[in-house]
Amino acid sequence: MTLPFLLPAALCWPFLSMAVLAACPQASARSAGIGLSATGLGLAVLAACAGGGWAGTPLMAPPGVLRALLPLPLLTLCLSCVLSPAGGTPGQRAGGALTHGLAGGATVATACTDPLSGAVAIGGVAVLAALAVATARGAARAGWDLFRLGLSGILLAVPGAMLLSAAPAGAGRLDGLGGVLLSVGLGAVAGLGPAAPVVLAAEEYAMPAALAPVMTAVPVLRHLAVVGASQWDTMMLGIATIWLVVLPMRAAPARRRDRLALGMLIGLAAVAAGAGGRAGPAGAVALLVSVALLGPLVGASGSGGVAVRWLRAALALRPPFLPFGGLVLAVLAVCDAAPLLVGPLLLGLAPGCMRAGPGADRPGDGASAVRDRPAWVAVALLLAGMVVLTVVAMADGAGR
Amino acid sequence: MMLSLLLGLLIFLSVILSGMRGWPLLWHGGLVAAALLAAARDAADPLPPCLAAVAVVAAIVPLAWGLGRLEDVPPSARERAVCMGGGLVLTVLAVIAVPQGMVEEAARLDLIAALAVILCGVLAAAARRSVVGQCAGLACALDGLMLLAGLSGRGAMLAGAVMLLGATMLVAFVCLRRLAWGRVAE
Repeated sequence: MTLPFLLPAALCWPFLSMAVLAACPQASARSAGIGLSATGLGLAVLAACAGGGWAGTPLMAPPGVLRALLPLPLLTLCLSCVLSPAGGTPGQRAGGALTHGLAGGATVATACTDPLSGAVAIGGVAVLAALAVATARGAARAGWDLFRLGLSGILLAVPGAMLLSAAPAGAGRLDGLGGVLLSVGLGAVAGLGPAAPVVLAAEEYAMPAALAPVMTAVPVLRHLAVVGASQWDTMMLGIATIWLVVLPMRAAPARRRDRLALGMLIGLAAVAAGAGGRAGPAGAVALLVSVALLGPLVGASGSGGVAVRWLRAALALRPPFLPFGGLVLAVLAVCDAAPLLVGPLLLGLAPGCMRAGPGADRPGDGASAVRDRPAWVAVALLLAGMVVLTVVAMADGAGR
Repeated sequence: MMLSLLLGLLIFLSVILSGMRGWPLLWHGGLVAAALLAAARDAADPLPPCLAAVAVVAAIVPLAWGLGRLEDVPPSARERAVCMGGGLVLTVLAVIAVPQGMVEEAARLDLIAALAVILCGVLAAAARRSVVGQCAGLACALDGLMLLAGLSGRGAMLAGAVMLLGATMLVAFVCLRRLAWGRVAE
């Protein structure tokens, strides 16, 4: 059954909640943020389950397994609201409101059907995140670099999408140029390839900018996964990202290692999306779910309950959890596309697999009990996702 | 005929002047606006090209004034060579990439011109070291995006391009003022 108002409601809700939060008194901002983001997440999940589109606009629930990407920006938003400390400053409240707008923009960009409108919407998200960094005190240079990178990426992606629609494949001597421009442009926005260090550095700033890599990676990979069956350029961008983030990982302190792990998961998702086939999109979705859960944890302080530490450990590429399932599917998809790429891929993954576990039990702070509940739910979801992947893989194997 | 001449001149100007502030930036914006107005004369719906021309003028004039107040490190010989040589290569690439016969001939020239202007601007933004030159390069590339949006007549794309122009002006006046505050050329 398709409900025509569900997708419009899910897409408009984050912007509405941004306006409500901006007008909300300081004392109740946190609880209002949690309630509004949870409602938005529920609406997005329902819209993704129901499918359908928004009549008269290029907005529609993504096709197939990519439909699971629609609520991911709102999942990140909800988790970041739950993990945020109580009693923030007015600046933090403004940042929280802006984060709702960022999540709304990312959801709209994910719902765009054609790459052209998707690129324009992703440009809005990237520019908003760069503005948040640029207006922060002492971050003008970082904000300018992020803005220049995002805008250059969009300026390459838009003509690429135009070229794709004007000249279909096989029409000219450089018929792949549109796809390459689109991949490179969107990749620069999402922090893929050489852009990875600049985009991941944005996480050092306040909340809206800290979530920028997640908010841009989800819509970008949704569009790159749909463009073609096998996109070598996207796959190469993913491998370059993995190389760039894995090399400094071993010598990095714990907090930076989390950030690099996020970049590695995004790179792996790009490899899976670029490989295409049957396993590729499913692997990309599994890895992007992990990215959406890890994003808010990177900015949070290292303290937390047992469950938060378990969640951090579960988001590494360990066998029983969902990221591992995504990795397996990515490797399967890559094997389908080019067996030679498995070598560099595994070489890139080895340092990531050596990450420490949840760590020794430390006495939690006052807020750890509040943080524990969603973290336990997320760990259970990661396990359940792995079970679902296994069942689907077994069913596929029996069907062949 | 008039439009073709203007687009050819625009491509030439983009290759040699992208990433320069001041009069080159004004000339670039003015030529884009003139090309859009020339296209509006022949278009079935003249509103999108006219709106795009107004948006270009409204953004480029204050941007050129603001950038002109900041001290800029002039481009080195290497930067100039990269911008001009790379721009020439990218223009040839744009001509080859847009195939003949796929779209009508006038639309093909529009697409080639917009693609060349965007690519030259992005190249200048990447090649220049000074933030003022980078901002001027981005402004040239945004001119190209406005040209593409105005000539193709897509409302959503035009709205997105106007939004990006506004964001560029905002970031330029917030960031560049802070980055080069001590170096105001007065």
